[in-house]
Amino acid sequence: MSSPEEWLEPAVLGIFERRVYANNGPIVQALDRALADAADVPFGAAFCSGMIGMLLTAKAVFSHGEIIVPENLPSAMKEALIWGGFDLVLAEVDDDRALSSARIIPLISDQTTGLVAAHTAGDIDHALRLERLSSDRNLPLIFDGGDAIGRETDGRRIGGFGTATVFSFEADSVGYGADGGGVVTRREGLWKELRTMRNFHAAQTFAEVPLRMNGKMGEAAAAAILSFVRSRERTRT
Amino acid sequence: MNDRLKEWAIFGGEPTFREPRPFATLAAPSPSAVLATIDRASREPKRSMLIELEDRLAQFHGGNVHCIAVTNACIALVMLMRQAAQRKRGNVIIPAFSYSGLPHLTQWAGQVPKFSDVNEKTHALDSRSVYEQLDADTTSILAVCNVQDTGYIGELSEVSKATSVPIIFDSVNALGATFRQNPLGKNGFAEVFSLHATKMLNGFEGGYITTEDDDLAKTLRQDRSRIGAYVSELHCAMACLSLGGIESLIARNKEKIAAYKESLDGIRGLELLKYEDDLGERYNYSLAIVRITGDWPFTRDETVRLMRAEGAMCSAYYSPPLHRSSHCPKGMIVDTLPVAESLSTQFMYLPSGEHTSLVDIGAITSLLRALANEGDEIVERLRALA
Repeated sequence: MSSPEEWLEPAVLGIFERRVYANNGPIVQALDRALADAADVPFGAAFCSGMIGMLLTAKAVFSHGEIIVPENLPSAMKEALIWGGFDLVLAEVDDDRALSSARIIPLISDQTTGLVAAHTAGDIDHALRLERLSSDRNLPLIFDGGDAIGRETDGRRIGGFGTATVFSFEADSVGYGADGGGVVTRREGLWKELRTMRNFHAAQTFAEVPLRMNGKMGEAAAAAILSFVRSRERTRT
Repeated sequence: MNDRLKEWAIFGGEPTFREPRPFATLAAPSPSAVLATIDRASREPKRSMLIELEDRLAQFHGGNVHCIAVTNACIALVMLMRQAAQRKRGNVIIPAFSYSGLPHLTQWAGQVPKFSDVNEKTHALDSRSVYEQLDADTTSILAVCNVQDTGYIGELSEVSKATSVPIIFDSVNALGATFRQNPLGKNGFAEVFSLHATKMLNGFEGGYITTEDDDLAKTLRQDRSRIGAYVSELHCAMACLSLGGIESLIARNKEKIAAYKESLDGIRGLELLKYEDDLGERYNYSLAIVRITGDWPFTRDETVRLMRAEGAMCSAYYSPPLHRSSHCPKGMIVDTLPVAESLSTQFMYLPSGEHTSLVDIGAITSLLRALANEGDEIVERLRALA
């Protein structure tokens, strides 16, 4: 883990001063915004983990049925889809570890309701081809963005492709061993659903949703991840 | 203090409390101690605070018990229900008079929630109510230990043994309580506790599972790794410090409950929910819950509105009952559960926790006494407002 940094002390003192430790506090709200900005899309939402981000996004965008995923999708993302009640159809990946349209097409059946792909290979043509397949077949497409928030692929930021992109922040990469997740999207309706699904509170209800969960990030982890996202922004420019 | 001199805030007067008095505990160590602990942890190996927290929690729960810290208590419950179900799709028995998350959590575990009525005295599932709902598809029983009464842990554990249906205890609100004079944490299949700021042990956000079952603990640790459900080190540091202050927190809570009991005495129509500590069991006294009886001039919800306008953040307690709420799965038809339905109209939280002082409790009960005395007049004005 990294050594103390200048953001930590004011962040912790601010949390104690406000006495807002959790429950969609101001740092989480700032992180929601920062995620969207870093991905260059209008909407972002922070979650307590990447797995929960994927779980709630999948439940919001996919209908009950089969989801085609790359065989090398991280276990947390596969588990999220299993928790969501979906049947996984594993697709082989190419030598560059990416899922290609050619591998997906033979697996599409009338049970297929969506696609999940990873930004492993990272070239824009790959992402655009998957997007095209998604719209041609009318199958929502969620990208697993790993921790690549703020990164670019051929001049376009990761997070701007498909229906939504799920990011995972793990203790290894974020300062002070903070864990969490984030979802970014261009769809306002989905964003409202996600912000509703991540809690059970009447006051935090923005849309009609199928199911809710405690998917909230605490303020201290949010401060660490916010600093991480902003550092990505700085290194990019 | 008096409110005879002052207009009620709901009718445009100044609120009694400029800064609202919550019912959430919000106990916190000093921020400098938190910063120092985080600084120390940042120089130690990965997840060392998590390991330290789990060790200390295991001691807190009496030792010789596994403690697995996870993202939050809800995820903990889903992990356990999934384990109990062993891939089978069935149902989980839950109390209908409880926390709004429960029906959602059972569904995330791939199970149908089976709403059960509760015992009128303890507000908990008992063996009769469980047997009423139990069928061949039941994969687990999710019993909730309430703040003032841990319920029927012994009796329900027997039901679980006799039927081979695992029982999970949601002990979130009973953290610090005992069963047969031993700390909770070793009952049933497993127990779940919270590290949420509003509860007894403030770790910002988080939760943990306790179990005596070695194999289950091992499986849960594998699950946690597979799904990435760790608690952030910053949160573990905070929780460790909060754990150090828990005995004094319980003592302060107990004083507040005693203060409420004394000052509510003689107000017709209000009864403070009693902590069942007569037989030597411990409780955490974190919530002040009051029952509104027929002698009270207002409905429960009117009382909540009047008090909240004053900055005393009262709230309805477990209302509406889960099977009659928006949290019940769409289209599911549930027969009447008379006890849960009746209890859900009767109780409200009064402000409590670290940001409600003994002086505040005096002011809050003065407001309630004034409401009792001026009931008829206020009722008339209030109903004219609506």
